[in-house]
Amino acid sequence: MEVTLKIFRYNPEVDKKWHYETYSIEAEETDRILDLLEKVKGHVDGTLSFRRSCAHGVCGSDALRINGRNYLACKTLVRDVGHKITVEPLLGLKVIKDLIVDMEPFFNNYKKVLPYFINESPLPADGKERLQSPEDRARFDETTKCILCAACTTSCPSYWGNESYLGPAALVTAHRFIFDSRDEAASQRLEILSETNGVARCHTIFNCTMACPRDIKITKAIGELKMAMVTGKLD
Amino acid sequence: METAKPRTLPLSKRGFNFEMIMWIFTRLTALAMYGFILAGLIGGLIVSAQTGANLADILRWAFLPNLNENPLGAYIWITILVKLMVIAFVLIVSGHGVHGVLEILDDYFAGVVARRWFRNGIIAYALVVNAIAIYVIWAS
Repeated sequence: MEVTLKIFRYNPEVDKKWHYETYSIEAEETDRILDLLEKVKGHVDGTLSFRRSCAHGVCGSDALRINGRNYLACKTLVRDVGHKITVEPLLGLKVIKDLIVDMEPFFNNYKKVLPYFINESPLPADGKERLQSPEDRARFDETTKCILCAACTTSCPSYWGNESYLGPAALVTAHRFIFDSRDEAASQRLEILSETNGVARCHTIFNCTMACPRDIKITKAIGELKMAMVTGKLD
Repeated sequence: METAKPRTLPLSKRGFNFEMIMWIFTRLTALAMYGFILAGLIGGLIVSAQTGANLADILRWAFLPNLNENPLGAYIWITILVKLMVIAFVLIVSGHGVHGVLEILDDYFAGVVARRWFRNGIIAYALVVNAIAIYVIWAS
């Protein structure tokens, strides 16, 4: 089948303004959007720029806006989006070139929630691991699946309006550590989340949940953070 | 293996600040609005049952109480009760709405100074408007 691929193009060294270019290419229904982009770059226009790495939905490099919705290009098939496909960079982040956006603001917000394990207590007597029950581990299992692709954060209207808002991905990371029974910095993280640019900016729009390629229930996780602030319960 | 111990943070260590107080306030006031609407409807139904009023009168008594036309307005305690309920309703609705506007402004204005101005301005506006509303309701 022939697929019409309309791609957002912008080269700051040449273009004064962004534009779209349309390519007609042969594709199978089971081809991934990433395959189509590779085909354009390899055989039609080598100047096309986009990020990709593992190509198997794990690294989170190729999150793009496809037909108006955020997807991972490597996990989205032609049959999922039809034969007229528009590919654009993620919204809310500055475009560096073509489909590549500046992820710096995204990762700056991510760093604010202390995205690492904090435990100042001495190791257990045997000097080995800090063990955890399966139930305690299950409490934050959902939010360990995040691959930091930014599909959630860049689908959030609150983030579009204000990039100081921590965003869903940072909140998911905060959830992962706050509800970890071995971690000891829940209080510090909740203080950070309670600022004006924290969870208060989430208006339960659910775009993040729909955009997540890992099917994380992000809005539910943010709701649990709000309840933790109100009740103080971390179980 | 570590035994599961309950983890509960005290109020001072869970980031329980103005934002979170207003988050709870907004949800509670939404529930309170439903409560007032229900009370207004039940009150309207009771009055209508006693006077054989039609639906239009019931809705008018429930949501736009005019005590001069309310058959039970002759009882002073009912007049005061209705006024207090209407004042409470106005305060809750305005608090809910004003905080909603502030939330939207906070979404789009990230500057500390801008946010402070909006917050103070809106609080001042709410105080003035509520004072006028209370006066009009009480004096009617």
